[in-house]
Amino acid sequence: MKNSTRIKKILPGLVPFLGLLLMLAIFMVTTQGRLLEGKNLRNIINQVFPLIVTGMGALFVYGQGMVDISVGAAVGCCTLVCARVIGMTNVIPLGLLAAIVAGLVITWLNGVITNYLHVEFIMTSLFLMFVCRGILTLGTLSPVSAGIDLDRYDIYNLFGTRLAVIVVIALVMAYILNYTKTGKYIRAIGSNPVTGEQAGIRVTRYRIRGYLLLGITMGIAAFFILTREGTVTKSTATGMEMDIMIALLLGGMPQGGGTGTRLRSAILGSLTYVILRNGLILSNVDVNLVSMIRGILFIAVVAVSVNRKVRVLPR
Amino acid sequence: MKKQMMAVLLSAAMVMGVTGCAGSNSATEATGGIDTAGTKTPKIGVLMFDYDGDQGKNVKEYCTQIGETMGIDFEFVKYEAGGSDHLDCVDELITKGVDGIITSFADSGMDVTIKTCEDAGVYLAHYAAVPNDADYETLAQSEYYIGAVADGNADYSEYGKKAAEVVVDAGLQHIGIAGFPKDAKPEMAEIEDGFRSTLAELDPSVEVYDYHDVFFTADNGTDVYLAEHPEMDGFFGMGSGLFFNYPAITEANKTRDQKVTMLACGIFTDESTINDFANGNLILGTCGPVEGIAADVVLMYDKINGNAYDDAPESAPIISTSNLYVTNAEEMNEFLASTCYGTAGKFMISADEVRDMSKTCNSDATYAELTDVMSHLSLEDAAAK
Repeated sequence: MKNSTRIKKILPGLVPFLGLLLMLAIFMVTTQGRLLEGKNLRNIINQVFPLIVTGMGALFVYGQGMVDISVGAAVGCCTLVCARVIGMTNVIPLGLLAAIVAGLVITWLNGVITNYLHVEFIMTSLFLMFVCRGILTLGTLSPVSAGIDLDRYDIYNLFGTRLAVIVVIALVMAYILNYTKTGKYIRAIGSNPVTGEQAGIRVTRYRIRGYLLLGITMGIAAFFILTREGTVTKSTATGMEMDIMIALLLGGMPQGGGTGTRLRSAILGSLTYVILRNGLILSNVDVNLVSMIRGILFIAVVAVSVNRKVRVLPR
Repeated sequence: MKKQMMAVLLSAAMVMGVTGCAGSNSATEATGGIDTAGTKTPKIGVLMFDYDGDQGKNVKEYCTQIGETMGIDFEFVKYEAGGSDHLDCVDELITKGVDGIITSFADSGMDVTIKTCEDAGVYLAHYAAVPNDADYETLAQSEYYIGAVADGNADYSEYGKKAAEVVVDAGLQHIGIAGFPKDAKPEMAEIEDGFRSTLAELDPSVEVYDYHDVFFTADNGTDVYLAEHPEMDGFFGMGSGLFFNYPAITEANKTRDQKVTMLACGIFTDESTINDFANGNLILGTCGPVEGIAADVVLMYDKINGNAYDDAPESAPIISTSNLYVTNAEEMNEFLASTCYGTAGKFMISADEVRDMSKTCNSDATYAELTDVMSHLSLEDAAAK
């Protein structure tokens, strides 16, 4: 293979890495090194944790060429379930289990309604977003606390614990995505569901599996949101669906999913998204500019992803 | 491929451009440490959900003025409405090296917030927000909690009493009443109690309908509530009434036989609101004075410098300020002419006066004087100044 051809093949995958490295370099200068101080690394891991964990699950939905805009509300619901269960039983691991079960139920519904009732996936997730946000609002008319001593949560909030959880989930998800039928089929379905079906893939089954993987990560993220914040309110996880969408795109996720789906999209994209905000704030950028810059960056990424030939976003 | 590289480079250029202009978010370029007079130059973080609206804009301007006078470096950070990222913002301010944080968020997570502040040795105070009783108990146990300054009078029933007086003066007889769910916002119950009990005293013949819950969305059923009560002639919107209820009332008034007059907690300063006061469609708007944040700043500044008033309360105080009421066009004009809401930078307590309220800067300063100043921030006081 010619060198230039090889570079052309490798470089697209390096762009998100380069973007992140470039941003890190800039912010290291503008924050006078505070960006990577231990205290701020803890902030970054706290902020990126729910995004990166849920993002790794969301890959299996986005990889099918689908979008789920109910994720934020659903994670909020999982957090509520988690808090209620811990409050009732005083057993923290049960809360984690309950959050995962809640995540599985919600995403199963999402998958079944979309695939068996043939409702457009965007409509299903819109419907679930309203239902979950409604449940969360009604369930948190006053903030819901897990009702246990906050010190008992400390172990779950340690930098090392959170990093270890991210690494373990990343390894599991990487394995599923790259070495199992589920991962391979989901990517194939994302590339072309008709071809996949004709090749003998049971499309509906694997699509629902993708949703269930998202449900598991949603439950885990919800549990760790609760251990950090201690309470659930109607605004818990608000906007997370958009954060995930942006993070995946920033990480180089093809908007139509398919064979280009890579785990690094969730990891790099989430880090880029969180460090961008953190770095801007630490650099004393005016508060009103922070959201605008993130928005412009998102538009820039979407713009370069548009398929110019058909003049629409990839499916 | 080229496009992707271009996007990365353009984004980097944008970030560099913006961060190159950094520093404008800080009120002063204080370097921290101790000055020649032995006074620490503190860095105080201010956390609000909005700096674009009247209140946020004025808070930023006021703190900047105070910072320049007292040598305080202010850092302004914005949290998402609802406070979903409040804790992240607290963490970020701590990383920026603040000595204290003044936040307008007290709805939830106060135990975690104060724990985070304690661990970092950072003081915490509330402005325009008063924690509920249970949270206050937790907060007050911490030596790092300074206290809270309410957005007006901490006795919320005062708003209800005033609204009742305005209703009677206007001769209204059938009143709708709406606000946020009381479980979520307990102060709603206090306002309603003040309203109903005062009305019962002043004019028992006035009918007040059942409370209508407003679930924090524009589509909150106000139109249905109005339709259910065709005789309604007045509407008291306690939960940001001008935002959540007034549009539906304006729409309904186009076709109703009985027009509905609005009384609201909260106020806007746009042209349409000014006109509505002039034509009598709106007969009450309220807000708290921005100058209330001066009490937080002074208490925090003294605490950071290891000073305290001789007559300081034993536990973290909850400080009330005057309420600002507007009931007609004349008062609206006065409101715009005499307060920072209409005249940018016109504050009832000057930065020099704020400095003089600090024990660190003025050894004669007392807590009694501080609270007295805070209780003289009404529209009449503003006009007198």
